Amino acid sequence: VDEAAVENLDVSALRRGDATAFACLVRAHQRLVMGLCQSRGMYGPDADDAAAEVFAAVYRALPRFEGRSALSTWVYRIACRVIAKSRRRLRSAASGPLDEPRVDPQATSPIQSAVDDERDRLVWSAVAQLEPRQAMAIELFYRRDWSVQQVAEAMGCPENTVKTLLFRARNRLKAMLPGDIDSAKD
Amino acid sequence: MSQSHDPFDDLLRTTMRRRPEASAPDDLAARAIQMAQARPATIEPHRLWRFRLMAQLASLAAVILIGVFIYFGVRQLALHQDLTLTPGNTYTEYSSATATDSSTAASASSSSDSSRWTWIMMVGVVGLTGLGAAAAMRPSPPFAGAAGMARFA
Repeated sequence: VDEAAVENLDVSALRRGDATAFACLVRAHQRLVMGLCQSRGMYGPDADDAAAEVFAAVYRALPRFEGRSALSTWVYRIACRVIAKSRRRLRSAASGPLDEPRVDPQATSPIQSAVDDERDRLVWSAVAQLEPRQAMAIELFYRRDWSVQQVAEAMGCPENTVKTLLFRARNRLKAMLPGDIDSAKD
Repeated sequence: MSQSHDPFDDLLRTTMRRRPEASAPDDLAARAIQMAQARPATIEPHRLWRFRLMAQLASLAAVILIGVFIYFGVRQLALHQDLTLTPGNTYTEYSSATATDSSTAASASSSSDSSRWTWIMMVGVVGLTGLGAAAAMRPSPPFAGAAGMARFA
């Protein structure tokens, strides 16, 4: 999240439906919302549509935002709910193309780089097949480096639930991925 | 948790962070606003109230109609078998008058059972109709979806 942009957001303008303030809110949160779509196996136009649905839900709910939680937490809570719904509607989403891995400048050789790329694709693909809440917990905890407490706030559940989700997601990923995948990195 | 040295944990963290960010469309905010304004955010309270009332009346009418149908069905059945719906009047006079005829006595006993079953069915139908009516008049559960929809933007 672009912290500076979030701090500059005028909540009262947002509540009034000010388009400029809303565009700032979208800019501040779009990276994370698109990341959540990715983690649910949504790519390209499907991800764009899901992100638009998330922000449409945010826009509609803004007049009722009471400020009891941080704005970003509130946005992500809506995002988690809307993306899970969108994902259920898209039956073929998981079969979409995965992102191209980045070229790792520290890779020692082209072979090592290819192995890393393949491993990355496998992990991302496996994460997309997890249950929605598990995938979201993995996305926020590992990719965004959020604390368990932050993930719990965004997902609207107790911390212990997040720990359980992460534990189960890890076990499921271990079962889905080849046994030697973590040794491939060394 | 982030300080763990589980190799799989480290692998997961590294791999997830290496994932390229998806680019959002430039007109995301405009699309979202357009989408939000395309359909009403909530069901207005008076429409929701009217919808709920109509649904409850329809449920109640359906339950009463089913009850009436069952009642007349059972009544027709009882009449065709020449049964009385009054408890206690179980062909005793008829059976005592023809006590010597064993086949008639057996028939009377069977009729007595039928009468008892008719009463059990009647009580059941009335009870179920009452329960159905009570369920139909309960305010929220069958319409939680609509109420939820109204709350959710």
